[in-house]
Amino acid sequence: MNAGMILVGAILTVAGVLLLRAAWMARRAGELTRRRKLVSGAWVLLAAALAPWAAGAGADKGTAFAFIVMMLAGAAIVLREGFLHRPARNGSGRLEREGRDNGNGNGNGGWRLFLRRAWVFVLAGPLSFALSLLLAFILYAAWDMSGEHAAANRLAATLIAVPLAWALLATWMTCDLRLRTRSLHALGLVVAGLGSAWLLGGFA
Amino acid sequence: MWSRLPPRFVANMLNSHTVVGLAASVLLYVLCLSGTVMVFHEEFARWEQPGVPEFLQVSPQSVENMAQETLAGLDEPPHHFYIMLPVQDMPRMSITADETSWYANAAGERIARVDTPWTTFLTQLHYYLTLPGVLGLTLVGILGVLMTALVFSGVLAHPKLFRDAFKLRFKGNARLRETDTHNRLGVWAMPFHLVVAFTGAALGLASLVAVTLAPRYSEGDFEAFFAPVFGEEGAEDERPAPLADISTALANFKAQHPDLVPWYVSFHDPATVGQGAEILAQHPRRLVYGDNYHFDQEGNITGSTGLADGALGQQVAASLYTLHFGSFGGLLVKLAYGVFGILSTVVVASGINIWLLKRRQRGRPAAALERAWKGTLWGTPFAMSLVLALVVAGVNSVGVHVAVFWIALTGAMVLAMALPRIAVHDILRRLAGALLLVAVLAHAAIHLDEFHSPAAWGISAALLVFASWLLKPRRLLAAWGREPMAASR
Repeated sequence: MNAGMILVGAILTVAGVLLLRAAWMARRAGELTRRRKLVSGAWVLLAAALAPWAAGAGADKGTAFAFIVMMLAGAAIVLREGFLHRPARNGSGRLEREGRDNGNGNGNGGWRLFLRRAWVFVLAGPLSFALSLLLAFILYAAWDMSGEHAAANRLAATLIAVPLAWALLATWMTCDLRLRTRSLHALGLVVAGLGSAWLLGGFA
Repeated sequence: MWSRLPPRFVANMLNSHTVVGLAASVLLYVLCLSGTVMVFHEEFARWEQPGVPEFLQVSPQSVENMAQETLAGLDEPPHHFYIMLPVQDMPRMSITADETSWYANAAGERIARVDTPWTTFLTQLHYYLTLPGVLGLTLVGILGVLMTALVFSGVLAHPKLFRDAFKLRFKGNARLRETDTHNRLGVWAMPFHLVVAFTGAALGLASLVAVTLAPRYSEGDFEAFFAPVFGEEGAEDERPAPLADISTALANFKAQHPDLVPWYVSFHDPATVGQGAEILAQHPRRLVYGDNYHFDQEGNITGSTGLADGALGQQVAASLYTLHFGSFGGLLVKLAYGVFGILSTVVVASGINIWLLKRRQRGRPAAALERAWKGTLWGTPFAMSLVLALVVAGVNSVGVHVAVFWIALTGAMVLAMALPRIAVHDILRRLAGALLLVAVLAHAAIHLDEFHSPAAWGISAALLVFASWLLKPRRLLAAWGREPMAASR
């Protein structure tokens, strides 16, 4: 590893985060033109920092280092902000938007609420998992096996696709759409998935 | 762009974030806290046996002699047999035959059994949530999926992601503090949260994917299923043969790959005609945990698995481990992962705190749940400290550790719920601090004459700092100081 290049990468990354902070301050002061320049400069620095990181520590490892330094710098600045912050005179501040309380944990809905929750669990849990496995099967069956590294790439893609698909489906199935709509979406995906699997010879 | 997300979509994501967060909260918190400690598992292993010699250089002949002597002393030939060579993160040499491991000195003489019950417990807790094998791994994988979903919905539910990037208000009302803490730390450590959650999910669910697909694509043979990425062991032939030449293989490897760091020498069915022998070597400029270099009976390097330079899929798969555990950049990266791990526990804790505070402010307080959650937050470090104290006291059964951990954690939650007039969480916090303090001091006293490992000093110092924070000595001193003043009036 090249310590000099790593140092340059670290300086550029920290400078990028500091510019982002300066842009944030400019926005608070109402200097929107300056803010735009600072934001652009910050992203240019953060992107440019990847080159010395890659030269100093390797492309993949250097990128990981860059993210670590960026996160550390950002967290340090924001924590400093937290400790230095003075509360408003009336002791309150404007709250950011938070999750709507749609009755989760209400405990007043009786068995209908229980059944709704149980069905949401089935949709986001077992059903989403089954769908992601179905996707894995389709991916595995449909993968073009002509390349030299096809078998390894197919396996890695499948191992990555299952948790990714499940996480996306779980997000979808627990969102604030009507439960009937979510159930229909799930049913549509099951039908599409099973149809694709059948076409690929999955039930032979 | 972010601020233009449709309000309805943002509301959908917020709902998802709340539902998934509530479902995963307790176990996710246990995983985040244990994972933070787990980052330093090698340092803890060194702390548990601080007197074992540490070195970075060892001669190939010493390794060869140690392997030959160990093999000759075994009652039965092992199926798996491997030697861990000293590297920067773990400057010790050990040899393992199936389930038993020994540390050795630089001359290759075995000097002590590897005996690390705390590290074993940590591994059981973080990899499996102490459940058996695939079941535990799968549950941890599912929690990884939920955490990934939380990152997705958390980011998409935050239309002011960039506008509020540096706004954090610790002082002010509780809900403001918790919301700012959750959002800011969540956003700034988001790449870490996403990577750790996703790699954990992928590693945890890999077995289940194999169970589903292997019957159709590799006749139920799991090893064959994973072979395109990780390679496979050769055909068995158990007729006796000399052990493949380790010293020549190490010398050849060093000559051919001077930039790589040999880490493990491993055998499958050693000293048989069908033995498989390989050197796992670290690639200092890559994220992959290493690559396997095969060698033959005479010690000639015959090829590699391709984890470092083969298919992209192999390289990605071999990078999942290092990205998850932060083991790709020495102590500095581990320390950074430790910091991010603490931030992740804070994000999980503040997420549920926000939900509880909101209920309270809307006139629907869940007092028992609030106390149970506080019991979880402080009961988890208490239960872990209790296990550590037991280990130092010489109770080495992992079964006992697992039972004690869950009984202590469940007891903490139940007591916190059942005793509303007592600040159980505060008592748990101080107990955790006191247990840690006693454990560190007792450990130092027991190992007074052999406290050689720098990592052992570091771990003891870190545990002392953490214990002091848990004990809140400033408040204790203030309370102690008030008493005489009150008495003098």
